[in-house]
Amino acid sequence: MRADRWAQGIFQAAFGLFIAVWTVFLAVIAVGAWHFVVINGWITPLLSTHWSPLAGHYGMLAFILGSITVTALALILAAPWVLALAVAGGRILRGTMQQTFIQLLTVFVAVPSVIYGWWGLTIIVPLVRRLSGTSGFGPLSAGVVLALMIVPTFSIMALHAVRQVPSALVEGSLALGATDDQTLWHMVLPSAWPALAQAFLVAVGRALGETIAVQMVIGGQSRLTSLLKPSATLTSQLLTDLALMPPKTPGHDALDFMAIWLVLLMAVLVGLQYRMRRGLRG
Amino acid sequence: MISRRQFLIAVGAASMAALGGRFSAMAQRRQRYVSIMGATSCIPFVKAYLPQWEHDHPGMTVAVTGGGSYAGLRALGLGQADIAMADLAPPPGFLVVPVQRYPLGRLPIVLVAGPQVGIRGLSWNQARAVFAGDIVNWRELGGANLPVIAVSRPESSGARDVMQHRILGARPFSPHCIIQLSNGAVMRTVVETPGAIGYVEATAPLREITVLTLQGNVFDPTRWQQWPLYAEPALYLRAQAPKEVKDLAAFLQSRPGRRQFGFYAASEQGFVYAR
Amino acid sequence: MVEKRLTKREGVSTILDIRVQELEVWYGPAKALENVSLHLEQGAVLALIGPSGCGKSTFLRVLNRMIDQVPTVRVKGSVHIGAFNVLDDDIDVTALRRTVGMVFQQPNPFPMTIFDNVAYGPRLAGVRSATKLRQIVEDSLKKSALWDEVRGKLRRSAMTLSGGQQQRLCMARALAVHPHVLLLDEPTASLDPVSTAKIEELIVQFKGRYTMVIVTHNLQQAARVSDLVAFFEQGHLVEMGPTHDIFTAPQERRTEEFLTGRFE
Ligand SMILES: Nc1ncnc2c1ncn2[C@@H]1O[C@H](COP(=O)(O)OP(=O)(O)OP(=O)(O)O)[C@@H](O)[C@H]1O
Ligand SMILES: [Mg+2]
Repeated sequence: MRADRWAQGIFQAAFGLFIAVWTVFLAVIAVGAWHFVVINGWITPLLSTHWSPLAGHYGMLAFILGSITVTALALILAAPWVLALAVAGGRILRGTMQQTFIQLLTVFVAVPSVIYGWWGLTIIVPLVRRLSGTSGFGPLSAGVVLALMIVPTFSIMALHAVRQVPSALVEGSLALGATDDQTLWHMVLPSAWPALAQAFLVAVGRALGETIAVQMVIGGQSRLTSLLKPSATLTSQLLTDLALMPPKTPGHDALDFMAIWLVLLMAVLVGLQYRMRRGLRG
Repeated sequence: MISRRQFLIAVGAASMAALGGRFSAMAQRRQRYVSIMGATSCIPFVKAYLPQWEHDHPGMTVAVTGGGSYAGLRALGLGQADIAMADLAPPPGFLVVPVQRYPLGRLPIVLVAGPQVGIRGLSWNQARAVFAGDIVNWRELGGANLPVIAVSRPESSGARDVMQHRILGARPFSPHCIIQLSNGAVMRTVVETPGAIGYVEATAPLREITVLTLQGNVFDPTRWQQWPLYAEPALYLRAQAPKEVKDLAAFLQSRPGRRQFGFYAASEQGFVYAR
Repeated sequence: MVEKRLTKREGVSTILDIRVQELEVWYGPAKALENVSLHLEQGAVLALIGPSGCGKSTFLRVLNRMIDQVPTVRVKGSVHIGAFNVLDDDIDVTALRRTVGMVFQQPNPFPMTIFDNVAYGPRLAGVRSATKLRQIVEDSLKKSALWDEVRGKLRRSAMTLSGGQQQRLCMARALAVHPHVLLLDEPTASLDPVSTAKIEELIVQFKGRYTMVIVTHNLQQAARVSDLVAFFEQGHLVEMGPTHDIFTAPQERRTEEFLTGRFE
């Protein structure tokens, strides 16, 4: 009884701490963003691409579009591959092969993103350059690097989503004469869907929030004219200009405003997923 | 579920904790701890001599953080750092407190390109045209038929500041420049990208790469006085800094053997401060 | 093409017999079944009884090749169900499984509507027409005595049904692909007495229409529903015979001990 109350206390404290820390965290960003909005308004920065913070121009349209483009590109490239990996690791590989595969993926999750950045700089950018005849720096390279970067995390989560589909459902499907492929498409993937969607969102978050790996291959210009020309994302620009606008400088508030936008983009996605799930159930 | 009261308590506690941190920072009176912050190009040099100073001043601890020249100067102004390392001069009005400047010497900046461009050097005007985006193919300068890909550093970089003032003047950098955050990333990009040109602080080893001559000047570390393009990194401290802090700055300024870190000391022959 | 085969089978009311000869099954190095031979007439109901771990489920899962799901398994001997050479590597497992339906110990409704559960098999077999599907679903639910309870609620999630209803839904689902053989692995083990009685009623009704093999730990149930009983012990088929004979005059001492509860 008493131990029970202790445990309850710990769980509530953990939750309370979570709320407290993230409230403060959001509040700090929100205050900065609010200062920014008071001075610059919130529409102009969103509709302009003129970014020159030392001169007081804070047009971030190109960065917002850049973030969306690069993230979408990364997920379009990664998702089919990840799905195939998840099916391979969750339903085809068995025994030690399966274990080794999962362990490998787990290890790769720890590879720091700056390594992916260097690696993008030495392999992906030259490849894109050779194929396109441009400099190779731009959203396309960033998308590819991000795709590769999120594959381990995304795959592990997707793999577990596929694996947690009860074998009773799989056998139930097979027992009705469904082939392995039919069982996969009509039973395993639909049953794994909510967990897959969750994995997808984590991958989106990882891609959207990545800074250094993107910065090293995207070229760092505040434009978005082509997938093959230097541009920037909210995060890569945040990283680039953090040194220019340290906390307590006027421009720093702009960075807070950009950070809020990242949180908002993510919130929209989470909301969409929630709607979709309710739609499926209802 | 957590109740609304628990939620309010949690939020309150967190704000208290944040405020508490403030006060404890203010309460720290007697200086046993010196913090240095700023340009990353200065860090290797500063770090190399710190142990010696700490050894001579028992009980003192020194912390070194990067973050860039602006962040260092800003932290100095706010009292969050005791010494700022900066390889650019603070823009007018950036610092509101009176500061003292301890110049560290010269940090040469060189133009680098891959060997494929077929050019061994540039004039001032050519360099400006290249980085401003007027020249788009090396052929225009008598080099290979390769598109020019200019690599630059972000606005917070001291090297870019020098490039802006000494080479570009009133012209902005081309909007087609590729921006990299560090010397290393610029070097790698230039090595990997045919037709690329960039500029780096000469602290990095210049391998696999062509160092271009500038207006006929050849970069030679033994004849560094002749090289015309350089940053002037310096330590900045508040004018009324404690004795220990001033002592540390003077100590660092007087160290010989900075060359291995790319610095050419003020005391060496032929050196005249520009400012 | 698949649809054609299905339609053709519907017209012909063949019921299939089961012939097993010298069946051996290993899970890795462990032998689970040894030298099992038996013959089950078409339309008969065979109850498999025996202590836990004696190989009843293993035997059942060989009959529709569900055993293939175990990667380390090795199967020897011969099994024929009607014209199907079950252990043949080149056999059409899909066709076999449509002919030999299976109901599991735990009701395993799919997380979809009641209608979609029953329509799952026919749809995958290529039935497209909505009218046809509705007909199949209604027929199957009627056969499994669930129709009266779920009519008008077919668009509800199958998860909202009670355990007993779920198990009858699983029966309906199996019936929807028009099998000739039904394998039931402890179909009432997780059900209350009323639901159990309903399932038993169905099995009795199905006699003669389907050849059935049912695994059960409930000896009264075996006595009530089966024509034949097979007693397994440690991978061996100890004895098989008409239900009445086995329960009143078993030939083997081990069978008698098991039936009288003197089994350790
Ligand atoms: N997938 C498997 N891998 C390895 N061994 C298995 C597997 N399935 C069953 N076995 C073993 O094979 C033997 C027979 O198992 P089976 O499930 O056929 O028994 P059973 O008669 O159905 O038991 P119960 O009445 O408890 O359901 C047991 O010793 C069991 O441990
Ligand atoms: Mg069993």
